[in-house]
Amino acid sequence: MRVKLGPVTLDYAWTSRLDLVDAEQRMAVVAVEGRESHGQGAASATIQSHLIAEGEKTRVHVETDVTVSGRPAQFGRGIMQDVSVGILDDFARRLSRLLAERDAVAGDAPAPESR
Amino acid sequence: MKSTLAGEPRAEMTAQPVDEAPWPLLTSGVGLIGASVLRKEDALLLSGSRSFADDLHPARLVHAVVVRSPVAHARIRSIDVGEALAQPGVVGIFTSADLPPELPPIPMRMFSQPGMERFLQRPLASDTVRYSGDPVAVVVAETRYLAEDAAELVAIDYEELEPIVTADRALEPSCSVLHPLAGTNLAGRFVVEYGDVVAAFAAADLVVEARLNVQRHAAVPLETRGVVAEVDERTGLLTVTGAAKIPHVNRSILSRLLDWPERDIRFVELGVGGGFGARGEFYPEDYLVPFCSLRLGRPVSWIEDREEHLRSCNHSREQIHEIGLALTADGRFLGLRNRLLNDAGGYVRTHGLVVPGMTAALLPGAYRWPAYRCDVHHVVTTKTPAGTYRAPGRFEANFVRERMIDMAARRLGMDPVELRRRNLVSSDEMPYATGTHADGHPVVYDTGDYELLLDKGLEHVDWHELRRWRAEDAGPRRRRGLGVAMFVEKSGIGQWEYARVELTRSGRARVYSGGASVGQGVDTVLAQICGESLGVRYQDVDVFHGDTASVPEGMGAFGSRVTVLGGSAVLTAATTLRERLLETAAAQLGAMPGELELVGSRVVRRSGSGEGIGLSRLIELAQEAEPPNRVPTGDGLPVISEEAHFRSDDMTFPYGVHYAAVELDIETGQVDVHRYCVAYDVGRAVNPVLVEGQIVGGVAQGIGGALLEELAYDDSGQPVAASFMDYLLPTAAEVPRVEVLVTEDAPTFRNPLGAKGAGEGGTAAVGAAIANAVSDALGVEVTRLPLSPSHVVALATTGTGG
Repeated sequence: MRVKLGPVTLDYAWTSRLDLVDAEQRMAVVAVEGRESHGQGAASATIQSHLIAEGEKTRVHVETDVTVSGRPAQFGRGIMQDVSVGILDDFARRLSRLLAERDAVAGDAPAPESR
Repeated sequence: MKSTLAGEPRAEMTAQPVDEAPWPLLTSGVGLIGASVLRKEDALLLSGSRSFADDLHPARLVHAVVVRSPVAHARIRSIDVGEALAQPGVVGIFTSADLPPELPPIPMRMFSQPGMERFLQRPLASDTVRYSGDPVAVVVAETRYLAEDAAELVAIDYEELEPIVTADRALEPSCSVLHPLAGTNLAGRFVVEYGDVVAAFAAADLVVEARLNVQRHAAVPLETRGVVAEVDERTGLLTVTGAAKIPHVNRSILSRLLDWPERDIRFVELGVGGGFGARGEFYPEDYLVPFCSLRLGRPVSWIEDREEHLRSCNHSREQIHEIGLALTADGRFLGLRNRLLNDAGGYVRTHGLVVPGMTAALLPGAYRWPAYRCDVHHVVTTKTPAGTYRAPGRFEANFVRERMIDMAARRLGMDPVELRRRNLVSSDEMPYATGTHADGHPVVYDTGDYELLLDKGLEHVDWHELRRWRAEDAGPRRRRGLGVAMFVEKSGIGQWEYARVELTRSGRARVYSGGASVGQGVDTVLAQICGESLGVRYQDVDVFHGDTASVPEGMGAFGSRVTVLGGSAVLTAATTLRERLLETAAAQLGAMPGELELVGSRVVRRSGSGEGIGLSRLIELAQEAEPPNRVPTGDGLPVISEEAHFRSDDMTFPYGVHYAAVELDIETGQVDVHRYCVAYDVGRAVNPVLVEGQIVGGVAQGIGGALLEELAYDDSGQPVAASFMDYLLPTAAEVPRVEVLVTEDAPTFRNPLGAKGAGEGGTAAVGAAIANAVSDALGVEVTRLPLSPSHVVALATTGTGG
């Protein structure tokens, strides 16, 4: 995985696993562990996603707990926050488009709204 | 302070009380002392021709990069250097396994306690890393780029342990122990006390108590550290360039660590882009670079980058105070008691207990306290090790004490200036034994008229006008406040200094000083003192320091000591030289020495009558009378020379007052410093403009500590301000014009110049004065620094520090 944080490009060798899938609670937890392939840093994250029904729509609540060491930890917390929000927004937008395209093919179900 | 590392020098002059002082105060014959002459250093600096450590590129040079721990606290499971070592251009990689097994840790050179050696740092971590930045390996390659690339491939497997981010947590019984062999996170503990504190608090009409914090910040010199080491295979001479602050002391430490004879090690100081206490201490890299050079048989250079600097050069200032002040209803101080937690970071470094020791010794400040107790805890945490930074321990102490006095004044409904005035030590009590001590030495204020300086400063800033300004309506979001902070500084630690003064046939003088330059104008000041004592122009004096090959011994530049001790040594040597010269000439000319003077390259009669005698002839005569000097001279040409050591076991105590007027915005939290004035008595200013420069620069650094700078850590022990994106230094936008009032009302009797050190008073009370002014503006008590925008907004909206 390659991440660009402002002036710094980071390559991570990473593994992820589904720690929890709870269909009843509509919740999933993904744990990710990464190590910089060039550099002394590491990163780990726990991503907890929760689906909440809101009438016709579904709200996805994502909570991420990230621990970072090495250069990205020192270079601008602000940048890291901005970049991860940007990545998530991007993801939501693409997912939304993907679902919309699929629904357009399948029928007339309403498109989810991304946040 | 102990000077055992550099050996005990001969003492030729010792400080004594004023009526027994063996010297008359030097009078300004040539008019050089007290003259604001231009700096001798500046021509080279301004033309860009001064060399710094990174300018040095000897043939066959290789470059070192240090691999550092990315985590706060971990056990090292394994280190694999295989892939890194296979990279092109890599000439060597060293880990702790490559260092000699008997290698001792980096020693303390000051204020140590038995047991503290268990907390010292080895040049490379072996099984445990204790802060983000702890050196684990060093990679050496043909270029810096190749070394950086290879360093990224050193594979280290860490098993993370509990990060210990606060001193409070470190002392909890459930906290893990950072140095298991020590069995505790309390690296040092001592109590400074006198009088009956319990009785004083029992008898008080008012007791003010608070928990006050000073944040971790650092010196951050413009030039980062740099070391270039080179060994001459033929002679075995190891040359270490990039030395600063204490070249002779560090040579001694290196000799011990490398087990390499001291006479075969040469330390060379080049230009130094700021020191402020941090640069020039002995760090892991000061061992590693010479070690690599010896192992590889090639010159090795290591130049610290800024990110490394912020994670590995000494941090400073982080203290927690639980303090109480007892006083009477009419504002008489009865007692001060304090529990101090000093955050040492991951290891104890060279300064030992100096920083909290200075806090405990000087916390009483300019006031009379019938009873005092300071219980000091020096605590290790998983952060970068801490050491001294300009006004070490005093920036903190002054913030704490002066804040408490303002809190007490508010509670009593009394003017803070008046409350201070009622408790000042008066001039007729001098010399004044405070009852405290620093590293075993009793703190005895030598001279001073604190109230006089307070009043001079109030008049200088026009305090009445400032009070009128404060009362004006500044607008709905704006608040104005005034703050005063008084303090007693200390200067001239390190007990002794060496100087040699030579006079050449042409009438040019050379000064060889054991002091060092960190950019403060040493060459100029020592040339002025030499010129004055010898009777030559300061332009005709060349000053040498920082090279152990030409200066046999010395203590260096720290604790505002170079003018006080180094200058006094130059004065002693130059005065003796002049006397010898005039006596020799007098014998030749059939005159009395007092009738003669040195003019250019000749000694002539003051009256202008009769024959003179040339320096060439006098030097011949002097050399006939005495075998040539022990120390070889620079160019081998004959000179007449004298050496001296100046010794003083007692520090001198300059004192000052800071006056701050601030206007702040309660919505943005921005603090604008409207006026800032420093009144400082230095006993005697050898060069008033340089003193002023020291104070202005000092205030700028103090503003950083008061408003901006914070080496913050997150819960996992990661430093979150390891670049200038997040570590905010003051710029021209934040630093006000500093109004300086230098006075010379209280020359010291502890040296023949009457001078007290001027290096630290500009920084010492900025945190205190700004915090008092912000508290005044908001009507809320500031209890911690820095006063960042979010902090100020929190104070304005909730009345607490957030």
